[in-house]
Amino acid sequence: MSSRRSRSRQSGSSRITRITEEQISDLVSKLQDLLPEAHLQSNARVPSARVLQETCNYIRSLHQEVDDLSERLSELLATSDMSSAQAAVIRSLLM
Amino acid sequence: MPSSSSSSSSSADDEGARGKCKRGSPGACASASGGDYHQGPSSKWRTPRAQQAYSSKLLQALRLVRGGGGTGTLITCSASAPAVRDAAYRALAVAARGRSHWSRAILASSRRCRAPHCLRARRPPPPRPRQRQQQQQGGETEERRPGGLAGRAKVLGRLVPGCRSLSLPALLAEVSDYIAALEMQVRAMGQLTHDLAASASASSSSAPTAAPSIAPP
Repeated sequence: MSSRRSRSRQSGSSRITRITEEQISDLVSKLQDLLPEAHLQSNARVPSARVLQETCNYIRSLHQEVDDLSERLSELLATSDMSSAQAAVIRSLLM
Repeated sequence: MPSSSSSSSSSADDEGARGKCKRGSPGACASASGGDYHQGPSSKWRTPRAQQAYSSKLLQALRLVRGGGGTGTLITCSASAPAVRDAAYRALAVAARGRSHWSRAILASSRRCRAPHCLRARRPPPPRPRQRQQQQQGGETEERRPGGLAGRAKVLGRLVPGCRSLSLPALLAEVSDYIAALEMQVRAMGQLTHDLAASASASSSSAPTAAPSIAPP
């Protein structure tokens, strides 16, 4: 596929916009700020492809965490009842 | 569409500091017509209020999953892990108020009475087999994925539900919102798990009035 740089030369079409490299690098740096520092060695500038790769990894790990938490929650819910769950939530709200 | 005054008021301070995202594509602007979406979309997920709102939504969804009868009686019907997970993602999408592509995709797919298959499809590949020691760095873009920015962006678009055919700026904006939402989801579910476990242990230590606990298999 054409690289993003060539898009900037297309004009006159309302659907295709000029996606400049500066825009992309700006968004990628914002994304880099979101990633936890453990995934990147330092705050130094890393290539965009690496940021995207780390983002994919991070999203997958978040999915995995949600799955694990769902398992634990389902186990807990099987042994408790909703009133205690609601009480727990209310308690956390008050704290 | 209900107005999102609560979220905008709580994150008003952060928005001025973060500035607005650069939006180039009209497609993304059409979908994000809300004014506060431009300003630091991920900051709205960080507020404790958002997490509490999500926790209560999650609890409501879980009550539906369990068959809606839990006022003091022990329900033995299955609150299976996939059902809990789907309820969690649905509650997350509802919390997003449908202002992002991924939340609308989750709600649309759940309305079809099916689990979000975009999330399911990512399960078979092993989560972390890659040889990513901490020293390995940059240069190698061809570990196992199509190299280059476009290939990775495509992979990223497949990971986030409903974002397969988005342009790069819109995709990156969706991803940042999705990551912030996922982080909040993990925090909220962890908190709920912790509270449930604490209350379960507390109630078991005191006189158990509800019912004897069933040992999980």
